[in-house]
Amino acid sequence: MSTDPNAKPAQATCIEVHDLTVSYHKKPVLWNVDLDIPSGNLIGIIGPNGAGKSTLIKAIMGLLPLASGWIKVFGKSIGDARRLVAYVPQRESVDWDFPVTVMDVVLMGRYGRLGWFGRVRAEDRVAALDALDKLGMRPFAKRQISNLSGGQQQRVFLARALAQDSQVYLMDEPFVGVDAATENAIVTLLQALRAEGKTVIVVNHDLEAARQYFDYLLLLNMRVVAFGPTKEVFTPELLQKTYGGRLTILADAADAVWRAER
Amino acid sequence: MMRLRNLMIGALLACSGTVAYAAKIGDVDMGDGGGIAAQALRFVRLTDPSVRLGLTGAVLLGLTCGLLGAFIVLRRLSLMGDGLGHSVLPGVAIGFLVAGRKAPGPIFVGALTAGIVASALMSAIVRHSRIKQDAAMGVVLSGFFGVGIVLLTRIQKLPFGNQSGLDKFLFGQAAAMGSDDITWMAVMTALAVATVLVFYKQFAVTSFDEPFAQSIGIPNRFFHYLLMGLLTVATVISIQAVGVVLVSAMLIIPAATAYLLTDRLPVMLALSALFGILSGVLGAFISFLGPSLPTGPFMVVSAATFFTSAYILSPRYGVLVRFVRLVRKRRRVAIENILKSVYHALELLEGEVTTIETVAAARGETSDVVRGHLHAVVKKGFVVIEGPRVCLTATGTERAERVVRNHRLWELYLTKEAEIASDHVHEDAEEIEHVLGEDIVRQLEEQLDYPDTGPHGRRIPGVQAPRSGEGKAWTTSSRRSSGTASSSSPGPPAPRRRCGSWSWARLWRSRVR
Repeated sequence: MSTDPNAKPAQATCIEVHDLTVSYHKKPVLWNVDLDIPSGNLIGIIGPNGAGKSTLIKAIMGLLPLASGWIKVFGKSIGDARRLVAYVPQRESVDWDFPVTVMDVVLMGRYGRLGWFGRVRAEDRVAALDALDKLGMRPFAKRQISNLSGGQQQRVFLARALAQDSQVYLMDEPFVGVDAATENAIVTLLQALRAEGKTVIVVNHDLEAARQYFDYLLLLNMRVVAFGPTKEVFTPELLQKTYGGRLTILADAADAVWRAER
Repeated sequence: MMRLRNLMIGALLACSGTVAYAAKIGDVDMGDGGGIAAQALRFVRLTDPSVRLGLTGAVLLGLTCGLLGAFIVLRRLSLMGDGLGHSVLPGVAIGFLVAGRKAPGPIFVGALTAGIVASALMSAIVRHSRIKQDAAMGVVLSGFFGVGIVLLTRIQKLPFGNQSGLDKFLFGQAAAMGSDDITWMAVMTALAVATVLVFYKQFAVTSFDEPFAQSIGIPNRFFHYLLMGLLTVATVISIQAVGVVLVSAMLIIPAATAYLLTDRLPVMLALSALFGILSGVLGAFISFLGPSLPTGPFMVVSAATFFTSAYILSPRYGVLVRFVRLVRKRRRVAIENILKSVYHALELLEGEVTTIETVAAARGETSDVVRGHLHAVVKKGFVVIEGPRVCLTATGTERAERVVRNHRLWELYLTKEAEIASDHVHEDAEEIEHVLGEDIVRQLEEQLDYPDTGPHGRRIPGVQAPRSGEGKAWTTSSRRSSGTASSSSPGPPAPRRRCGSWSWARLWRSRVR
């Protein structure tokens, strides 16, 4: 599955995370994360429940306050680099009964570049339709979003990110609960994005899929267990270290911090 | 919470010694008599200034509340609307005390301040304690409302308090609206409508998907508080006519009505504003028709009437449509089940004609009941009855085979692919047989490699391999003119198995929803 990353020139860093600690309600969920994410790769984030996978990408998107550390996207703070990063939240995070069509949702991907007062223009519609095409969702453009299957809803979210036309894509669990056709569509999309030199960071549960689809893997369990090319880090020892129960002390310490500060 | 509020209202009424009845537009100028028709004519002619003021006020408040209410309902902040509505009361009272009379400016500023303070307090309570949102709302709502009522009671006792008319703020007093009130309302409405139009896309995206909105740089919190601010404005606009107690109804009911009728946000906004205006105007009109017909409550009753109609009649989400759909589905399932029973009987006999008694015995029903079922399908041309004998027509066979095929394919799928024991799969198949679409059936056929026998050893009718060949032997093509029975026993008879009988016994109580 791994295409030759050797063909590329020396890889630039697109996201740099330095000594990042994130807390929820004063309880740390990510400790001292250091990361240099190379551009132009498919990067999978794996780890057990509660490992902080979603937290990490939310922190990169600037959606959460940081307890310490900093994050740079192409050398800038996230606030200055929003146009360069697209975020795909978990599908369950929204109310699919909301009265909008597929096209309306995908057009939201263009809102970032419209500014405070801009209206949707013809070129935004073209970009949205284009994104729908790439995910095979164009025939559904006028559908209300609740009349879609789970996989189709996921593809709508991905189309919205695609319409943002970013350099980096952060996807939270796009493979959860989707049908085979959608999984194929997502994989095709990931490869197409890599071919265009984009970076895609995907939170993923499925280990086998992670091994197949991604160039790099980040093994996460409240701190970085390992980060590197899939072949190097997808080893029984490191996976055991990620999923094994030896981190109870870290979780206990987090509880202690939380109790001390409440 | 409701009881507490009622107690406080009761206390106010007892203290002030006045009956806080809801007033109406006609109160201002009703001495000259005239029946309902005369009043209606007066209203429609719009020559009366009090009518024109009341009507304008109703339109303005309906428009503002409807438009903002749509976002309130979509963001699930309906209770927040209620809370803010109640918590502006102390602001109204303080504004009155500062101005010394019922002046719209100070009252508006006071109400706005109280609304902002109240919503800030709610957030603070949630953030800095273990109290959750709903309880925090309850605390602030009733707390502010209590303070407001205490202040109002004091005002009633002041020398100028008697003619203050402040008690009308509880239930609304459209008649009390002066032209300066209307000017304030018009300005505020224009402000609210313009804000919603200008920031439509921000309100839409933050209402739908907050994390995403934040990820593209839209300040969620700013738009949340902007909406809360506009909500307070809407409340203040409305309390003159509708009253503090019912103002949230005008925010929520028109929007909820619109939500039942459309799947497009712009349409929902327009419909919501329209229902708001209609409710406002209708309430004003009814209250004008005679004495002691209150304005605010009639607006809310009108809105509730629209909601009830939409709830029942909405073409997509109405109860009626869903009921009709359910009845149709039940009828279809009943038809398919009786056809299936006849098919099973024919299959066991390996013949083309069976008797009503046989089918009845298999279904565990009396012959009369089965005859009744069959008559319904005779009309549809699926079955022919001659005396005690029954046979399927070509279309009836086709329909029955489709159901039996779906049933057995599903059983086979569950036993083979899902590895469920074969004696567990029948009940599942009883339900799924009526809902499987053709595309899923094609997938099942392919995945099961065009099977010819179900897990209970009986033939699966109508499964066609894509290529011509061995599978072709038993297609559904036993065409015949309706009425005359002909060769309908397609394919070789399946071997009878022990489990065949329990399947029969259960048929009649298939629990299809």
